[in-house]
Amino acid sequence: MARLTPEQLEQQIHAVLRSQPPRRAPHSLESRVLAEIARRRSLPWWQQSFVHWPIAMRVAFLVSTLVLVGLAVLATAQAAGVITATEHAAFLQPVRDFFASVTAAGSALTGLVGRAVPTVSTTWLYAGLGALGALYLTLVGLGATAYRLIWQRR
Amino acid sequence: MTPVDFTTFMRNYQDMVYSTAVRLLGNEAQAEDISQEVFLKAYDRFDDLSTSPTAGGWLKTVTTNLSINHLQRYRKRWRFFSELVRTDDEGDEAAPVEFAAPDSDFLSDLNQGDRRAWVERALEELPEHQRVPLVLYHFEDQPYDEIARRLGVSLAKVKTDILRGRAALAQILMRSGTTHETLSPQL
Repeated sequence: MARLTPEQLEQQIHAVLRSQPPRRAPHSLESRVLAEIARRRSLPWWQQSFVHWPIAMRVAFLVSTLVLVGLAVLATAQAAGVITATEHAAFLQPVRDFFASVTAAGSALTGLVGRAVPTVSTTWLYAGLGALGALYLTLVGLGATAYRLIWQRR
Repeated sequence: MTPVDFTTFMRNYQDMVYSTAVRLLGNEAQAEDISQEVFLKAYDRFDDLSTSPTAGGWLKTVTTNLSINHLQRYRKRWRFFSELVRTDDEGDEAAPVEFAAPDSDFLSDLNQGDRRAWVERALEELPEHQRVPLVLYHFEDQPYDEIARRLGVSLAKVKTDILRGRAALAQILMRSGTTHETLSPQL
């Protein structure tokens, strides 16, 4: 019997393996994949992968998570005596200022509308609301048309 | 994206994906599970993959990674790594591998159809610590050092396992050429 050297063996095995055709995938694979895709698409968004959440929900989740983590870190630091209650309050002051600003802006806007509405005639009020609705519908229509024409054809 | 587009895409690549998985895993049921996982990942990225010229390469890489991860995840059950890290294999990659070989091609007695089936069966018979590096080297064209890095073992260990895997594969194929056993119809 002849004995192959490692190099001869490598060449022969390589030739044998590389001449192998692909194995045929089972018929059930395609139906399994499509069924799993259909099952996942039927799930509500909060049960799907994070990348499939609506963008607003993803942003809200990230912001709320950051806020919660920040509060937890502050609470832990205060409990451990690393920072004092005064420093804790100082850390939170920008957040309080932000919410105060938002509240003040909302109040000012509400007051302005409250003072303006009684002086405007009903006709102009309805005309204004109608114009706003028409602009909104136009924007939605333009967006939907652009989506169908540009994005869906990619 | 429409389901028809994705179905066509899947039909184009499913044999390649399944072949890669089943040769690495040596198990048809697990290979089908891994193939399903690969195509679900592809579906999530189908907007990019449908027009990408490298979609086949992406699918092959993901299939290889998922298959190796699958083997590593269940290594205790399959004793995969206990075989991979055996120390008695270290350092003897230069030792000659001796085995009785026929005068000509050791598969010449088989017709083409039988030969394909026997090679696939012989690969499945190899232990994982020989089959995985052997498949990565000969089918995936990965160099020794990349295989060693991917499997987390030494370069000498990879070379030894591949060398012994080739010898074992040749012996299984020689046996198949002389015994003419019957094959199961699905192979």
